Amino acid sequence: MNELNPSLKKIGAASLVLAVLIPFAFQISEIYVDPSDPGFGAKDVPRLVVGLGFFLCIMMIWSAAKTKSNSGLNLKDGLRAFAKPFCLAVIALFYIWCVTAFQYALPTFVLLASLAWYFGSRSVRDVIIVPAVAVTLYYAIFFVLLGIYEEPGSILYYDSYGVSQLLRQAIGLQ
Amino acid sequence: MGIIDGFAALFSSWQPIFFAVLGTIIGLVGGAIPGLSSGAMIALLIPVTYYMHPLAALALIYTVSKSSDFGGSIPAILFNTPGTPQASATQIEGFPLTQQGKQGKALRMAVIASAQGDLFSELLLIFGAAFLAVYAAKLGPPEFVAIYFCAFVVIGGLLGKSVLTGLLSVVLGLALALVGTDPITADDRFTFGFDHLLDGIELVPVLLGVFVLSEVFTKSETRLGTASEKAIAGTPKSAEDQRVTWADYRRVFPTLIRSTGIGAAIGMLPGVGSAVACFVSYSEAKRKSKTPETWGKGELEGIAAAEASNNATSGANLIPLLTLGIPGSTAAALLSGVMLIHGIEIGPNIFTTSYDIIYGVFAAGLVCILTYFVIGYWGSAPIGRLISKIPARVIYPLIFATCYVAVYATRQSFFDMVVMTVFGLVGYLMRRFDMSTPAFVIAFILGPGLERALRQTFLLNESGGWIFFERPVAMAFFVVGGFALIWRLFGSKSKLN
Repeated sequence: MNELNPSLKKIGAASLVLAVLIPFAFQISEIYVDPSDPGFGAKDVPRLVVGLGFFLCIMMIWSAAKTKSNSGLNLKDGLRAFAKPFCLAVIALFYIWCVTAFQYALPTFVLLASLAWYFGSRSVRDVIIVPAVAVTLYYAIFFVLLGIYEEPGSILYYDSYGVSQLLRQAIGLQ
Repeated sequence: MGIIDGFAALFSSWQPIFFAVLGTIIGLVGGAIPGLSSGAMIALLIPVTYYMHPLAALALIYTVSKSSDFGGSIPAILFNTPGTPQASATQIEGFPLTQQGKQGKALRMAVIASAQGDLFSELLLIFGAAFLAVYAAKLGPPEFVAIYFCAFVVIGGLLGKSVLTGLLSVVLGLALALVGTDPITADDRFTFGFDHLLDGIELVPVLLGVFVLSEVFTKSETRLGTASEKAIAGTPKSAEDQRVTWADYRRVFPTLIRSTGIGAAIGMLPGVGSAVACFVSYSEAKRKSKTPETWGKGELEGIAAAEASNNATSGANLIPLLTLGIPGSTAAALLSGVMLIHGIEIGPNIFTTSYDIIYGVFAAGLVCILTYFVIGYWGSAPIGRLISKIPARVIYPLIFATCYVAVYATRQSFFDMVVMTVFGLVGYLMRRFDMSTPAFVIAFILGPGLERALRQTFLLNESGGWIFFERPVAMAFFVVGGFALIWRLFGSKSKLN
């Protein structure tokens, strides 16, 4: 992993915290305050946290401005390095949608196989057999042993919950 | 006597003892996998604990965290690749011994030192924590406000690469802990119209996202080879090269005792992890050695120093959690998460409200030490050989998919899966920006407690903020926190200069 330029790291940290605090700052005014509430009211703790956060972010940006170092990745290369994890996050969100549409087994197998390929596996064992075994193991642990209910898929529906209940009965768990 | 009741609770059914032993094995093997942190491993197991008895759940998580501290030394010695950051000091002396064909001696010294350090730390926890908790139980909301302040400053200051990034991590955790409902008026706040957020952000997706998913995101930047390298082991010259002789043990004994003390003392401080303890002990042992020229070339005393102190932190760092409700390390934060999930009150009252469970966990800790000593003494080398055959490119996709199945298992909520993805990205960005993920999680867990204590302080007293000046214990914690902040600020400034 290539490290970012030190001042970019500081600006990045401040931006991340500000991305959370700015919407929070706008929401503070909407918090209901009981007029009879003495001392620290409902708005005061959020104000304290958001105020402290803004102060630290300003300090961080000031510190970044003072940092003189050309080592590490610049903004362009840094954004390029971020691209892969962000793509993976998008794949993850697509996987979640697929689970709602096609239930758990098929999307999980495809996810595991494609991730194995992405991480550099090329053998049939790593791309086909390991994902198939893993999907079966997940099913056995979470749906059969722990008895978790699987919601019906919106596009493809099969009664995996019924199967898991039968298996639970067969091994004496129910 | 508490610990006897603890053993009775542990053996009251098959579950607690089974999961204590299973946790030890998982921790031992998982700790030996380079790149898989013990925090990530524990976070992955948390969803499974939803369906267990509280004692079985805590025994599993506690034993994983304990044995992974030793597990990390196996690849450090055999492959020159530390399985956990705290095994880095072991690697300095362990790998040269492997090259000399003395890997058996190195591994056995590591397990003896680990078990001895761990046992002392566990006894300190068993007999010390309850004693301290009696005093901690007398503290009121103003004292807890001061303790939280002190903990946040110390944890933020020490766990971040700089004071500012550490404190920013704490503030981010505190801000996200505000999401949900007001603890006194019960009105919703910062939910942004999402009904799923009315109870706050769920802990499990946060833990899995920040500790596990972010690790996979980080690894996705590069293509992965094998998890570890093959050992470059020399040929043993005699049977003595494969075992620790009585003479070896007698020679390292003073170092073992000293390092155990250092590890236990450092372990009790919130925010100072075992990685610091093992390097402090290693340096101290090297400084005291009569033959410092042999260090770095396979000195058994170095392994004893690093491993004894590394494992001596594991019991001791639960003392702040059990007496004050402050998790001082990643493992303690995750353990407190499991306690919250099972409705166990964290803090000094735990010794009265969950007496059987807490002493059962201590008993599980002792069983864990015995189990990993036996497995580690005779089985470290085969475990190491097994780990070297598992490629990282297979492990990370499995970890990624396990996160999603596990988080769905906790509440059958697709929203939690999305939340986990978001926190995975947040954790990844925090790592890239040198922020501290453990400090963030600790603040996220403790945030509601701080708010409750602060508002109770002002509700119960008419003198407002002056109440803190009337309470000497509270003032002492504020002063300690203030000094810690100033010391860290000046420390980093002088380092920069």
